[in-house]
Amino acid sequence: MAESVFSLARLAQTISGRPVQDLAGWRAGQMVSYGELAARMADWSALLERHPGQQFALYLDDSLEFGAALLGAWQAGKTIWLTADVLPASCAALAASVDGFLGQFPPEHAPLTASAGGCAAPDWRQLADEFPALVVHTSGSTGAAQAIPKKLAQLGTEVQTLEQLFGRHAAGAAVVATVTHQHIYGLLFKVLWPLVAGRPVHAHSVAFPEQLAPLLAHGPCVLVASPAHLKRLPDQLAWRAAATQLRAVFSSGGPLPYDSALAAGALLGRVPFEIYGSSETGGVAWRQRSHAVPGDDSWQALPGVAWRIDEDGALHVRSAHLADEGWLQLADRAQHTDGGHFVLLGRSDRIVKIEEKRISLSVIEAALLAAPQVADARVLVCEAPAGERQQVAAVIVCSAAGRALLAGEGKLALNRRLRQALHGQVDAVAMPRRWRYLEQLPINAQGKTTQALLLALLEPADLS
Amino acid sequence: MLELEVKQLIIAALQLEDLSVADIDTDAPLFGEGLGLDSIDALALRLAVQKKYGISLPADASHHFASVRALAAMLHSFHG
Repeated sequence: MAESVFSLARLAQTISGRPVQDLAGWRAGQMVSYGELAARMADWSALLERHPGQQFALYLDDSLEFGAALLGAWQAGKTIWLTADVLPASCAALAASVDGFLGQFPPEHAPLTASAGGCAAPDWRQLADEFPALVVHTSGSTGAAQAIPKKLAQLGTEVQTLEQLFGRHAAGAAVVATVTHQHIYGLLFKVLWPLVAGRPVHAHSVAFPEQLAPLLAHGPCVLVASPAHLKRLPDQLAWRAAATQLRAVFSSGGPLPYDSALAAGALLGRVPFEIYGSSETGGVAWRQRSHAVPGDDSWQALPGVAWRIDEDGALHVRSAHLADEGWLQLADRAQHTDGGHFVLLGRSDRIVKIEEKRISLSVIEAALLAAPQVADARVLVCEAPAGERQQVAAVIVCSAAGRALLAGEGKLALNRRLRQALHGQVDAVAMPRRWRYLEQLPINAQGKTTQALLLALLEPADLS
Repeated sequence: MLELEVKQLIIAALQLEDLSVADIDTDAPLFGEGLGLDSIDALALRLAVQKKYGISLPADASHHFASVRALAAMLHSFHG
């Protein structure tokens, strides 16, 4: 691959150098040209040149506009903070770190938006490898607050890896996504990789399968999805036309069960390429399930990624996607498999993943303990049969106020009260779905409240 | 009573513990506040409805999921 084509450092020049009428993508059924995209890039760049701050949070639904804002901000020398949501807790945490907000943040954060000013295109700069391009921010709502800086070169090697591994499948294909670009997977697959490779993008993510099926049927395309959607594709929908146009399906953000991967492959005509990674590590490994190896859950490292498993079973990686040349330990435990691959054995901390969202059980517990109805709380994830949703359960020891509410208004009322208490602090998918109110937490002979004792409280599930 | 059937389907498909059909308001918004349903529930409910009734939703189906009444009306139109 020619470096002049696949360079993030010169992406602004590349984009403004493409024929102005060439197709950058679609928004709301209308074509968007590279000329329009370059003009927006100039607008955002001009806006940010006028602002003295260095750190800016950016949130937009529209991936093409997001790309223009991101590249414009980089040209103005700004670092962009990426947040997955605009929940009050996320915005409050961001406000402590950034100099300004861009795009669709709540009005109290006075977000800036570039007006369509017809700004003259500046002399687009080539960016340095060391340029502090991005900070991936996860707030207290989805786990311990984290700010993960990414230099431009880290993002650049990710894009190169994707092109190297999957470029031949994606050539000439439009990009359709069910995921947002507001996390690193979507940013790479739906914004940076398509812009670098010059593939048209459907700017808005698709929420539901019945919208997806006709969109995929339009022409050659790739689908950037996640297990949340791929596990729930209704086979009643007309997928055949989509299957003839799909060149590749990507899935990331969490594990796709083997059966779901093959079922999605049967409907869509392509078994998903799954990518394993994290905000901290970037891309780590990939796989594509096949009938030839039934039940295979093993992962193969991405090109350029070295990995090892320590004596405690923790996975460590080293790659150009990381900030430095050292090894980085993941919170996932892993095991070697035949053929030099590995399988994942689950997390070693109290962070869980539910429907691709990182959830800190400790954060939910702390939020529950702050409610006046709660004296003590334990939060856990119920094991779910394959294909069903993992549910968060809360085991609560009530305070006097909680007992009074329970006796007076009933369990459903107390459930609702506590859900309200978590609102704004806990993502919707992490809201406890199953509630148990006890006089005291169960303990074993050693006086410990174990996971097994808590799980026992949750079965059998009586849903009648 | 298609509306009752829809409520039962919602409770079963989304595994809504502690909730009975009497707790679901026929006209209340299904998503957001109220039942506390989220985007994953929206996907799961679409899957369950299409499976149970053997129908395929049109691309502009979202407004049919506004409430139990809207969903029941859509199913009624499918099955006459």
